[in-house]
Amino acid sequence: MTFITLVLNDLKNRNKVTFILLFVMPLVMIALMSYAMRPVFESGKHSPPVLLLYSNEDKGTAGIALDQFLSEQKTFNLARVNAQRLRTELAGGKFTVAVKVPADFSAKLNRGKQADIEVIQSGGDQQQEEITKSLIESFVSTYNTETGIAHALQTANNSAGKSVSPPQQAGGQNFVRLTEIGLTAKLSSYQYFAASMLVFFLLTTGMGIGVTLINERQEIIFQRILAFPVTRIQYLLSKVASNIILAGLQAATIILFTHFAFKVDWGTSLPGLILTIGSVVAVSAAIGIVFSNLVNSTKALTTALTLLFWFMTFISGGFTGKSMLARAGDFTVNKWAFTALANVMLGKGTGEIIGFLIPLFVAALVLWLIGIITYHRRVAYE
Amino acid sequence: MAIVEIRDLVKRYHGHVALDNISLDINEGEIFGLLGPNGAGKSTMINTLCGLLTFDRGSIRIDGLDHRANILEVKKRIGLVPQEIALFNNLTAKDNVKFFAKLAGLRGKLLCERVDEALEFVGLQDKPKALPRGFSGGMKRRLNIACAIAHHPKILIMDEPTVGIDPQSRYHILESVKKLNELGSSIVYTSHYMEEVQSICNSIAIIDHGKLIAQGSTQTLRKLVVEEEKIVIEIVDVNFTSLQGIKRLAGVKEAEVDGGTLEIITRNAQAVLQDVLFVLSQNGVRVKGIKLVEPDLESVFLALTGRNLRDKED
Repeated sequence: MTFITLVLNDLKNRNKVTFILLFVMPLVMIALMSYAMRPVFESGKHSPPVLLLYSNEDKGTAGIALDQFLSEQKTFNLARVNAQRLRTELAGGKFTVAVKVPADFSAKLNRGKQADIEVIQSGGDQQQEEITKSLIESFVSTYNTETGIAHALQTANNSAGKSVSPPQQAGGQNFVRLTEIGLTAKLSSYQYFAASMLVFFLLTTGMGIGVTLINERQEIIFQRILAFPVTRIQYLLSKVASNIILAGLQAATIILFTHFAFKVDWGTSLPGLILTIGSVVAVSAAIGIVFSNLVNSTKALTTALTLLFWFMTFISGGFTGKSMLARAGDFTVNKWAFTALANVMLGKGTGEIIGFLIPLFVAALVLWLIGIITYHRRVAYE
Repeated sequence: MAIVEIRDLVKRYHGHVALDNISLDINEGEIFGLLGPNGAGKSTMINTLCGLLTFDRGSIRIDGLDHRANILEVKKRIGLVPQEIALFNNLTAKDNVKFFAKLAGLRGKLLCERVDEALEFVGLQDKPKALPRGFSGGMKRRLNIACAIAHHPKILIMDEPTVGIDPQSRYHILESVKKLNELGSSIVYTSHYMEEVQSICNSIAIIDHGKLIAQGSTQTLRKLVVEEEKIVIEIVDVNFTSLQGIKRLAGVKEAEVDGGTLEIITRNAQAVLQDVLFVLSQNGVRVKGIKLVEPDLESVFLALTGRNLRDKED
């Protein structure tokens, strides 16, 4: 009963404006970011294909590889022409971008010389030009890498007397995969940002716990409560429980609102959703407890945690739709939680997402252990 | 009968001894003043009694219960009025009192009655729905007290409850302390205002450097440090003969005239006074006023600890 009294009082003792913002802010951010980033997500999904004027006079291996690569792209509607007609057609205004491959393209490459693919832009449609450029760059990059590897292997195997596959055979199948951006490619911008913002705002649960713990410690309310028949751990868990209730309500609001307002498909696995949300909150709560024991002011806590949460969300791609530092992103709560949520959205069940949640369970366990130890030390000090 | 029994209490912080073998009793129904300079160990003592701090050695029994073995039961019997105003600013006055009363275990009709009673007791019965942030310092202090008394604690610990408030609220609080005591609560009271302690406490303990320096009534403590008393007599036209006559009286240690004031130092003021007045009347000296100056608690405190009580905040 004492525990319930503590939890209810903590919920009641909330600033009304902060309470409202807790629910409104995520929705506003999801709406704004999804709307702003929609073109990036939906290029190639719903936008009309790029009308690409294409002239390839190279009959060598590289020319064939590029032919194969471009014809497999659903993004392009290719209009093949010869080199003479390319400029006049482009000047005609029907096409905004053209790609020209010279006849000696493969020959130059085979001699180990630099060869060029020309991407000619009319300036008529920036988006179509950018898409074309980025796909050609992707081809070039992959081709160069594989050629480099092939040459290295050739040198190594020559001494062993083995043969090596030509680059187009080795990498031809990989070109399509290069243009995929994993789960992102399969989600709508609303799905992506609903999931990433849900993770971000669930992380702030820890900040709420930390702020309350520090505030009540500074205002001697903590000491006063403990002068009544309340144990230290009851007090701590009541703060966690009240913030978990708020996090649950916040998550439900985000899920329901985005589902009805933006048609966000959250999948069919309710246990998967609950498990993911629960693990993020568990990690976040522990982070809040640990930090509240390390710092003395709410300002220091909010600054530290805001930086941490924003940094994690940023490098994991939560704000941009693309991970900024892919490897570093692997060490963030956001990456694993988002991947789990995205998989739930794509129809996966609890069993299939558990692998993504294991890093979160481990992090939660370790952080809770540190949190409890530092809490007891801090309380004894206070 | 002792409601608080402290025996050989020792509390250490990182090698520093905050409470050094303290033994004292607080009797049921008394207002017990706890005095000490800053850093003497008062707060450590209070926090230990309230169960906020553990102790290293010794024992505490509260209302017959062993402190360590029955800490939650012990806490039910204690009400703490902290020195700082510890209130929830987003909750109404009534909700604040209700919350703490609930923590003490009150429920239902009894809870509502006790909350109203506590608010009435501190004179905030007409402000139940007001938020503390709109209160004056004195009103906040009174609400601070209400939160500690709704559950009718057997022992009320008040840590400087009158700091920084207006005389009206201070008077109200001191009257409340006396009333609570009359209603049956034993009170442990700390204050920097010596006259408060002197006026309301039946028994006083002075601690310094974690040690109990002295314990007893105000009268007993005075006797500990000063055996001499001073009689101050305002006079008109004193003459040499009368002054010599007074100096020759038995029990008079010293007598001197400073303008219109005759000051006599003696070990027994009551007995000497009659003889002095007799000498003065025989010599035709007119007396305008008589004052018996006793050492106050402030000077007792200074003599025992070598420090003033109000150096700086704890």
